[in-house]
Amino acid sequence: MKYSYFPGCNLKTNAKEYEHTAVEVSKILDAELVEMPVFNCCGTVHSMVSDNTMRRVAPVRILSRSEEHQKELEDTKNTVVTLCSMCSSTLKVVNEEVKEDEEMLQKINWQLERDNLKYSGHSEVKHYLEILRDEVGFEEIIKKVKKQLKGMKIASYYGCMLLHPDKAKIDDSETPTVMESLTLALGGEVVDWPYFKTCCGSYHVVDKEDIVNNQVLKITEGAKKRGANAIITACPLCAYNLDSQQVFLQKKGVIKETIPVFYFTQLMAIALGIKLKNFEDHHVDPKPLLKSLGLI
Amino acid sequence: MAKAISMREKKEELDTVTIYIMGQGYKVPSSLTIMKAMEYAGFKLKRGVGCRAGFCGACATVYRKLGDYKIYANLACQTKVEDGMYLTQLPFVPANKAEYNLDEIKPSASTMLRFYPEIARCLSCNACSRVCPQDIQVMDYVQYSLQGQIDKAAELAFDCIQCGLCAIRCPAEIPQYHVATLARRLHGRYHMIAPDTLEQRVKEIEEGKYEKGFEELMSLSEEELKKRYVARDFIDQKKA
Amino acid sequence: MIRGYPESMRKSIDKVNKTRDKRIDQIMKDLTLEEREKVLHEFHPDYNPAYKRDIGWGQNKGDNVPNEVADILESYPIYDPDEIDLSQIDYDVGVLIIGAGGAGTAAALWTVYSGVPKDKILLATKLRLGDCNTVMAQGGIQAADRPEDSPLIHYLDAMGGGHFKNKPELVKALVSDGPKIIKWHKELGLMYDQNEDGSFVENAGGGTSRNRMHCAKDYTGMEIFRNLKDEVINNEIPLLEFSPAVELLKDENGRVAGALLYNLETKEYSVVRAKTTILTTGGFGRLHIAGFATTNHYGATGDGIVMAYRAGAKLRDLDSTQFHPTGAAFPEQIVGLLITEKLRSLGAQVLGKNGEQICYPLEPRDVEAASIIKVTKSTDNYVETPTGMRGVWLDSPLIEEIRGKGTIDKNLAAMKRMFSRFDIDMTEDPILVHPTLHYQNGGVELDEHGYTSVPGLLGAGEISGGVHGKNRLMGNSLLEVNVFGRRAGISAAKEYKRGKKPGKLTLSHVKKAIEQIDTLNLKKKRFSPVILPEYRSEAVRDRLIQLFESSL
Ligand SMILES: Cc1cc2nc3c(=O)[nH]c(=O)nc-3n(C[C@H](O)[C@H](O)[C@H](O)COP(=O)(O)OP(=O)(O)OC[C@H]3O[C@@H](n4cnc5c(N)ncnc54)[C@H](O)[C@@H]3O)c2cc1C
Ligand code: SF4
Ligand code: SF4
Ligand code: FES
Repeated sequence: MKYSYFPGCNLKTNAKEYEHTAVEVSKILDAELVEMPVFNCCGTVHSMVSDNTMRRVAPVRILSRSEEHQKELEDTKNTVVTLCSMCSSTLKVVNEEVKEDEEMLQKINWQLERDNLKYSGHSEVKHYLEILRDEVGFEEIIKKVKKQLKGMKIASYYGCMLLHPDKAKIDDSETPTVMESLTLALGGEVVDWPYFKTCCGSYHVVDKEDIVNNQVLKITEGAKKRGANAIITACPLCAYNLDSQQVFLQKKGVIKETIPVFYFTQLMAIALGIKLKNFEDHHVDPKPLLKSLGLI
Repeated sequence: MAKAISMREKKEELDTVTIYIMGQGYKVPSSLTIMKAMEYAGFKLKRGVGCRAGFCGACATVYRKLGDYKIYANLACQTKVEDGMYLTQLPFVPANKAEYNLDEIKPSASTMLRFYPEIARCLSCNACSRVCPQDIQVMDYVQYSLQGQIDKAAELAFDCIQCGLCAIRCPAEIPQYHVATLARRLHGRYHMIAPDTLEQRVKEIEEGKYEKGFEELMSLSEEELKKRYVARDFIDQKKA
Repeated sequence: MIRGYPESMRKSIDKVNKTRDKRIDQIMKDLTLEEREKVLHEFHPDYNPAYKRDIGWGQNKGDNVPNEVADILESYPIYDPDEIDLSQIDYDVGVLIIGAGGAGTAAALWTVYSGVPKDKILLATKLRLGDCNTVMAQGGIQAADRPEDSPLIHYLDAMGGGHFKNKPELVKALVSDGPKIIKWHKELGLMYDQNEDGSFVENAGGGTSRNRMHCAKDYTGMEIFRNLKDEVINNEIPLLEFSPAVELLKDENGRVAGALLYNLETKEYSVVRAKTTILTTGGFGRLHIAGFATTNHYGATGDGIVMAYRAGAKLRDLDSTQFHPTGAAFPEQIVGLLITEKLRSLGAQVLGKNGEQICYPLEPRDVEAASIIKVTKSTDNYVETPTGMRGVWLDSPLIEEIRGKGTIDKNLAAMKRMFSRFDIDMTEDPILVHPTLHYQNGGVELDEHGYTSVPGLLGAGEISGGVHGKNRLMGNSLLEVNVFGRRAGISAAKEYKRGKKPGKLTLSHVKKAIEQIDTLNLKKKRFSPVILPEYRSEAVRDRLIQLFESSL
């Protein structure tokens, strides 16, 4: 099976390892992520635009371009797959909206008409975690595991966008289980903790770093207190905040110990026996932990 | 009473069109470009003219056609007049060009965003690509820049003649063609590395390797030089 | 109209399309030296005395040049020297650069690189920054950087191309700096085409014995210029657009000391005083030598040679003019525009109306042009367009027949786009061509450091004479622009560091020139520099004259 995969901007810039591991893993699982030939930003930054229709042109353009892409892929579904939870949320919300509001879809299609594009309204947006859970199945993943993640005590961090708003959530917003199930499938240990969806501070990292620092402190300390030795995420921005700000807090002397932050696909790659390129993008060095557990 | 129209008048009628230049109507021969038609009508152009061949981007023009709601844009030197064209030229496009030192920057999304933060505002409306007289997928190169795919942005934007039409149409106020220049220069500098043979040759010349040869050639009489010229061998490696 | 061509031309096109398979391996013989001489003498405009006359005054008095060049030299200034107040200095700078094309921008950058503070520089240009011949160059730039090539071989090629009349020191400078210029361009981030193995794509050109034509698709000049322009802005070099120079100024010591600029918008004159002036105003295509259409940009009116001549600078080699063999002859909208030599390098043949070859496609430019003029002037083997323009076919579809589909898209994108704007698909149908006025071979004489024969005045680029002798090879002018732009910039910086302030400004040299022109007793009083060519319809011009007269 092949999926039309929409990377978005972050996966190409700050989260290259997320993309690399996800694509490699997807090949092994026969749920391959095939990148769309051309794509634009999902449009999440356009919240500043007051015109509601214009705001939706970007996501609908992606949906229609993906439909074209799907036609080229042989064995596929009417699905656009994302890795970034921000993109996922934006695309899902808009997809639902235009499905419900034919008039709006029509208006947007008029905008796309001159580019020879048209969105039928028949695509589904899925985060890759959903594909793993609903289409590949954890049983299948267990079969492919070559190296159990013995000794990894993993706190699954969902953040806001995977669970909110209702239109976009990929799991139960109060008791999500998808990342925990994945952890178990890979042979890791699940850490139960309350901060799984406490906001990381998001884009405030650019203008109000204090807010982000407070959030990161709360989240990472919370994970450590429950005995975790790793945090996993599915979002480049969450990963960036959790990872980089710990180093900042450590330098300031606020915290002593740090805890490494991974994309879930990185741990999958280790478990499925894929050689990781490097850990250059990490701020907190994960190598000591992985070495001590014999995982690299 | 209907006016009788002679054959000659009829022919002339057929061969001319009426265009409106900044609101004034003019009859001009139908075979002209917009630029030549404006001159025919009596304008001596200073702004909005340059190479007259579709290379310099000075002659951006916007127009409407009779009975058509769409606004069109194109190069005045490369577009034929049509009957009922309602047009104006854009004397120039005010757009901000960032200043940078190429030696000190790297080909990455953060470089693009540092000098042109407005690219993050792109709505993906594609108004820019539609207006581009070079048929460049402008939106896509803006997006590639945002994604840090500098190589793709540079290649896609290669044919840009900096006419500015895209920037005029952009609701997000992005100066796309300047973004393109930055992408191309980063790509040309940091990805398309010159072969070693170039540096080698520069060194040879600086070390004076060819001085003797020049001395000799320059001391030859015209006749002797001609002989050398005629006798020179041709190496034509077709791999180019 | 069928695919962009009227029915009257279609018949001939059908013949061309039908004969293509037969012609594919047919190689036309090139002319012997005697045959070349003959066709040149009979048909090349340079050899036609009716198109030329001797200059009547000044340091090049008696030189035989095209009438249009003699005309602008034998003209009065467009302002009244007595009405200019030279005590009122508007810009006081170290280095003034006149004309912001390739040579001007390169000179400005090297002036900065060589240590002149940017606020001591002024770059003044006629129209918008970007209106110049440099942006229009498609084919490429020569530089001998391959192992099997050398500056010495490049030297021989250039000398031979110029009929051995080039100034040797200039050619040496040109070819020796070539690789250095490419290196500089790479530092600026130019996207020169490269092969998969990282080597540069280097093509052959007319008259070159090695492949050394570097290119950036068929937008080479534009790629060079837009990078230089970007650097000019990054370096914050003061720039005046829409401000052509109309005269050079001198000081009491006879040294050139600035220029008089004319604001095209406000019609005011301004006085620039400068320690050193670099003249980079480019060529003269818009003078339409011998009535030919041209490939040149709108502002290519030969202003620089007029100003330099009045200031006393020596000119040379203006007797020869380069006509490019293939300018567009159809459609009307693009008549005269360049059809790059690359088409013929890639295999396109030159054909008469019935689809048979009329000459070897890669003769030297002057011979090729004369051969085509011969067909349109002395035979009936040409094609006539609905507007009465004559031309011959250039069989562009043959290129893809020989080199495979997609060759044109990849190598000739600009060209293909130009024709497709007029519904012509050059991969399917041939294109109609006729020689067009292309390049000013001669000009102001320089030495290898960019100095003219007048103190205080430097020059670079197409305005100059000597580098190319009597005939320029393709790809050597983009190189010249950079080599001598750079050298002039470096020399100007030296002058800046050593020079004293210029003395009192004067136009006495112009007054002297006027006296001499008076003695010519011209029938019609002419004025120059031309600045912008006149393309308004005659009806409009008549009306303007009437208005003017009635206002008196
Ligand atoms: C269509 C075309 C294709 C070509 N292809 C090639 C090629 O493939 N390879 C190659 O090597 N060469 C080629 N050439 C030739 C080459 O491009 C030019 O010779 C060269 O670029 C000239 O550069 P320049 O800086 O001297 O002049 P330009 O680039 O023309 O610049 C001169 C500038 O001076 C300005 N100016 C003029 N008068 C005044 C005034 N009075 N005051 C102030 N400013 C003034 C002009 O407006 C212009 O901006 C081509 C030329 C043309 C026209
Ligand atoms: S990208 Fe913009 S500036 Fe460049 S040619 Fe297209 S419309 Fe003009
Ligand atoms: S016009 Fe502006 S906002 Fe619209 S796609 Fe182009 S760059 Fe983006
Ligand atoms: S005048 Fe240069 S592009 Fe039209």
